[in-house]
Amino acid sequence: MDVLIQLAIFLALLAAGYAFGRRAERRHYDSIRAREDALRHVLVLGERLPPPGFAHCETTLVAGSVVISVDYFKTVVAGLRNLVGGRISSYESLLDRARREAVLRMQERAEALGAQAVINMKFETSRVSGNAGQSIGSVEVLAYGTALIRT
Amino acid sequence: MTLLPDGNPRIPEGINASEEHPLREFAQLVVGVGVLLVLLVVSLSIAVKLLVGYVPFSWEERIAPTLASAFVSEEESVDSDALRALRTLGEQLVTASLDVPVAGGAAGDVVPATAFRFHLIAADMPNAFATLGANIAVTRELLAQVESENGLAMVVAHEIAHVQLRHPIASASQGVVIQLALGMLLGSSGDSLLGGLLTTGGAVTLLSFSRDMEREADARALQILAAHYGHLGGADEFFHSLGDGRDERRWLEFVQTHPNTDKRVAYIREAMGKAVRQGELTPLPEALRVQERGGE
Repeated sequence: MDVLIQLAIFLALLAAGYAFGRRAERRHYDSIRAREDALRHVLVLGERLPPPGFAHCETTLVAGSVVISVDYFKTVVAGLRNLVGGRISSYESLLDRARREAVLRMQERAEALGAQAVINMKFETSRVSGNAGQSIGSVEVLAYGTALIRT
Repeated sequence: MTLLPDGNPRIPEGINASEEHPLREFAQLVVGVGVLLVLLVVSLSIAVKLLVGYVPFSWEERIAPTLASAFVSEEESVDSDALRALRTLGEQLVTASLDVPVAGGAAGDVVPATAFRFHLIAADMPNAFATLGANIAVTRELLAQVESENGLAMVVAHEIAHVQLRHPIASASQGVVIQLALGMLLGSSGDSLLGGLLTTGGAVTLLSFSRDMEREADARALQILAAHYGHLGGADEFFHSLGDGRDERRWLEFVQTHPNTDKRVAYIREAMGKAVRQGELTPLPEALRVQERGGE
């Protein structure tokens, strides 16, 4: 009987994780694509030095950060994947979303400041929940760079 | 001079995140891991079954005391005359069983005759069971369900047979080994709920005997009965009341712990039919005559 109750809880969490996680992911990707198109004019470059044409301009630090949490379904899939090895694709899409969202937030900040480009863009990441027993954790992705504002 | 582009390029999708449907991957993993786990459990069970014969009874006795203490507290409420009579019957049957060899050799070498402990417990359900350390327990309600000593002897002999065939240790080791293996595998997978679920699934197998075990124990019990009484009369007595199904809920526990009852009765009756000698039933000793509890 206990086993059945545990099984029911497990399946309910799994279904809820899948339904909500999947919906959130689809909506998030739609929003990411739309905003990427809208912010295409804010150039993001990896170069350390300003490109020609930006010789005399204001510079300022811009950053965009996002914290994402994994859902129960993804945890279970990753747990099973741990046993056999291979690509944990359930986490890949999650981190892909996080990186793109962080860059978008950085670009939004740069646009608000009137910047035309962001140079020296870098990513940072850190685990938020640490080793707090439960494996459902969250991760922060931070994108930062130097915004170039033509005066 | 390099010319800057007008905007950031559109990066194609599906490079960093695969577009495969998550349920597809989940299904593949569940089936793959499931098959592996089943193979693991099956091979471990077979290994335990092969090796358990080499576990000396003294090892079993060493881990048993924690279990036996659970009976002793229940025992106190039961009158000692009946318990003494049950022990006498049990010891007679153990002595008779020494003449019936088991696969490992003489029955007395596998489990010493002095190791058996008989317990009478005051449970409402008619049931009898054997656990680690040659502990055999009969519920008081079971005494009310048998009419002759032979009927009770069949039940007790069946449990003695379980012990001599090393079923309790086989079943316990199987449960522990499977639980440990699953715990080690799934504990590391980082998901406590999934791990907990599968390890409790492993614990369910703890100390429940398989159909094969019940059949072996029945066959041996009949031999013990024949050695003790010289005939098999009354061997199916306990199952008479079971078959009546008067109050199915009361029998639920017995049926759950003793699978495949119908086939067992058929087997016992067949053996009784083949038996050459028929004999008189021995009446139940006065101390073991228990009235069925009414008004419940």
